Parts: sequence; C-alpha cells; structure tokens
Amino acid sequence: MTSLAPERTEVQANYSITNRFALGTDYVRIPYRSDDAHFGILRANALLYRANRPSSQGNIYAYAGGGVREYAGDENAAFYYGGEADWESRKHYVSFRGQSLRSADRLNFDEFRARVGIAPYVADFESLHTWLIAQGMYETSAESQFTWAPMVRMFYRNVLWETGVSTRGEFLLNTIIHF
Amino acid sequence: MKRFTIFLLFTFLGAFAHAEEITVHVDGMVCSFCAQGIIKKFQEQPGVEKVNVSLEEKSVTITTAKDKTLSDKAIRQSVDWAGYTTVDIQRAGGTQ
Repeated sequence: MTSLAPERTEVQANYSITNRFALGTDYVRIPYRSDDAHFGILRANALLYRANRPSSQGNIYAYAGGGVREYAGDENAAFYYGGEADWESRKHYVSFRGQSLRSADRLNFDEFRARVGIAPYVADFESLHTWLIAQGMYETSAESQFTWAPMVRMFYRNVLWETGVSTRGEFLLNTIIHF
Repeated sequence: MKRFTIFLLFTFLGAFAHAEEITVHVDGMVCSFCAQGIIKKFQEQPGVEKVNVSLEEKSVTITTAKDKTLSDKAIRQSVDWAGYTTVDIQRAGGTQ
C-alpha cells in the first residue's frame, strides 16, 4: 500500500497471519520544519471486532509497532499506535482513524482522519467500482492542521487507487494491491 | 449379453463422474476489493475448479472437479477465514 501527499508519504506491506491478525512494515516520511522525519516501523494490525450483516459490514481495528526515526541526521527509537473503525454497504461508507508516531526524544506526530463516501453506481464483483469520498484530516505536525479533500476511489479486482486534492492544494494518491 | 452388461456397467459408473455446484450465501460481503480473499481461499481447496462471487446475490458459487466435493466444514472455514459469515450452503441435493 502506498500513500503520497506533499505533507506525508507512506509505504506499507502487510501479511495476514490469521483472518484477524497481520504483521507488516511501514515507512513514513513527514516534513517537519526544515527537514523530513523518516520512520521505519514493524507493525502489528489486529481486527478487534467485525459485524457482518446481509447488506453491510462494520469493523474495528487496532495497530501498534516500533522501529526507528531519523530526523536531521539524528536517529531515535520510534513507536506507533492507532485505531480505526469503519462501516460500509454497497453504496455508503464511513471511517474514522487516529494514529500516532512517537519518538523517544518526543518528536511526535498525530493524525486523525474521517471519511464519508458514496458509490454513484452499484457494481458487481468483476466490475470497476467507483466511490466519491469526502476526507477530513487533522495533523498535528502540519502548518495547516485541518484539511478537507474530495477524493475519488476506484478499484478493480485486487487493485485499489484513490486520488484527490486537499484544501491545502496538495495532490493526494493512495494505492493498495492485494496479493 | 456380456457386451450389454459391460455397456451398462460403464454407463452406471459414468453417472457418478459429475462436478458439484455449491452455492454459499454469505453475510458481510459488500466490497469486491475486500472479497478477493474469498476467491483465493476457495481456490486453495483441493478439487475446486471455479469460484464465482455475486455481491448482488450475496453468494459464492463453487464448482468442483468431477467426483470431487467440498465439505461444509471446509466451506465454513474458508468463508470465516476470508472475514465473512456463512448463512447457508446449497448443494444440488438441497439446503444445509
């Protein structure tokens, strides 16, 4: 999974150990003051709760991990934790996520994200799916901490991509490939 | 008579060489991107030839190879592993 934005770049790879637990690696770049902070994290993802209904699914996830952070030539231990909840049907989608990247020297980055999405058409399994999503984000490290972004999400078979432009005028691109 | 008996025997045996079609109704399957895992999980099962998913029907249809079947336990485990809930399993002979 990759995520690109001027304020943040993230590349993740996750492997499902069971249907409720995955391990992965995470690289995050966050611009801060005059330089970029780089995080390399080994992470665990847990599905805490899932509600399967005939026409919808709701989930609660928790994430945690540890690794290293490099900033302005200085390296330090880093920690990561977060949580996410989502609910979706074939036409509607909402999600909330909070996550924190922390360093032993207190260089910390917190992010909160909320999304609301709607499918303009309902597609079946082998078709191209399209979603229109409104994303709100609060990032403690950013100059402009609150941003909104209209986004378009599309997926076909095992490839998902989303793109948008934030109110900061930043181009956003996320991609996920399931293997 | 012997040839007729042999012919009947082959016809009788041939009647059992058929593929099975199993339809599994599933709860929670609303996203095709997320449901890719269910195809992969069923394709890993021995004897499975084809897997079709319908989000509209909320179902997965599995076609087995000739003379092969898939147990209810294996079906429920595959659905569970993919993150969904099995509602019912329908085989050519009826609902289970």
